[in-house]
Amino acid sequence: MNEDVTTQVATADMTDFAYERAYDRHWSDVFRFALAWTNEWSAAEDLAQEAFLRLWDNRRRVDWDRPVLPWLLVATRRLATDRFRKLRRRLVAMPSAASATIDPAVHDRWLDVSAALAYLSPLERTALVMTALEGATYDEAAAALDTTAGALRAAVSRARTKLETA
Amino acid sequence: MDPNRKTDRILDEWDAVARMARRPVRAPRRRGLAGLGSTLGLVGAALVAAALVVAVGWLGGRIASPGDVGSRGSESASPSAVQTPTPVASAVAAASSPPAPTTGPCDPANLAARITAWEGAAGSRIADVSLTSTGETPCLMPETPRPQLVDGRGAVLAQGKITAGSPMIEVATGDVLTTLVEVSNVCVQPVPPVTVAFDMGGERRLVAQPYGPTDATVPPCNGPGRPAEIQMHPWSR
Repeated sequence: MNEDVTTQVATADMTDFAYERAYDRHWSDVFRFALAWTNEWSAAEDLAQEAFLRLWDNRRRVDWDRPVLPWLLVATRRLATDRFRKLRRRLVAMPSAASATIDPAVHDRWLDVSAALAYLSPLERTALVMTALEGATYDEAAAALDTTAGALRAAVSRARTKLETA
Repeated sequence: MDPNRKTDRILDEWDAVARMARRPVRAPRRRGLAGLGSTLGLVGAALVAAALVVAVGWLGGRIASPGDVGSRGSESASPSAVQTPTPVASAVAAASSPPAPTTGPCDPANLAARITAWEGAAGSRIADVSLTSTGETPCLMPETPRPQLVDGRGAVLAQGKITAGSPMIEVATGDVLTTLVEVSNVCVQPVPPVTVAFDMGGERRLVAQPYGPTDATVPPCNGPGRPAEIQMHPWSR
């Protein structure tokens, strides 16, 4: 019994370590994904934290031998979708609140960029950012966004057309 | 990327701005029963197991071969031996339990509180707060005082509710307590540094040292027409 407990404690230490490492490596990826999806800085920060909390909750069930980023991106998208549904249900208008952690100079630049991207749907925005900036393949981006590679390709094309003609 | 194309210019700028995001230093971890349960369960199980091994070894030696120090331990680890530590442990606990407190309320001057981290959650921010008693004598403080979010001017940005009949907790010299304070819907621009305070009743108020001298952490404004909200977990050791 004592050996079992020791093994469990050792496993707990390992998952803690893996979790910390995932946070160091992927927080930025998750934040950027959430930012592309929501087009809101503070909401993206919240979603990134929540996605990692979800990973923390599931740290004993996650297969740490496989890349954890796809898991995090799917969790982030689901959280973002849930959040949108809740907001719509409550009919609460979300002001685009400035995050406390964003530098004022950056904030002004962000307002301009987010306004330019506001023409796009979350799927179009995220598909464009993932494929054009993050180096994701259409298949990888499609998996994170729960769609097909064909639909994703069409979304990217639509996004480019909208931005060029806006 | 083609800098002559509008889309690529926007994406370049998006990339540059997004790179300036600041990652919270600490990875978020669920606190409270849900998060701590498994960890404490394992640690607790390990401690219990260790205690049992020691007790079994000690009692086993007594029962199986009282005079044989060398054989104390493994061969006498019978179920009956495992049952015996309870009265021993409770006798020790009873002997060392402190007398009923006859102490007075804590003076905030003898308590040092500080925010050790801010964590993000959807629509709210959670402050990890640590408190150390620096007084020379034990004192009593409410387990759940009234929390406040205050800014650098001393303005109260969020006012918590008074917990009626909050139990008192005895704090001895050097004791360290922790709590989590969750704040949401702050719609004013704070003057740094932002921190939390605890109204302990009777004009006794404890202001925590902020996370940093320029810290302006506040949760997003989710409803400008509604008041800010703040609540805390009871102080715990």
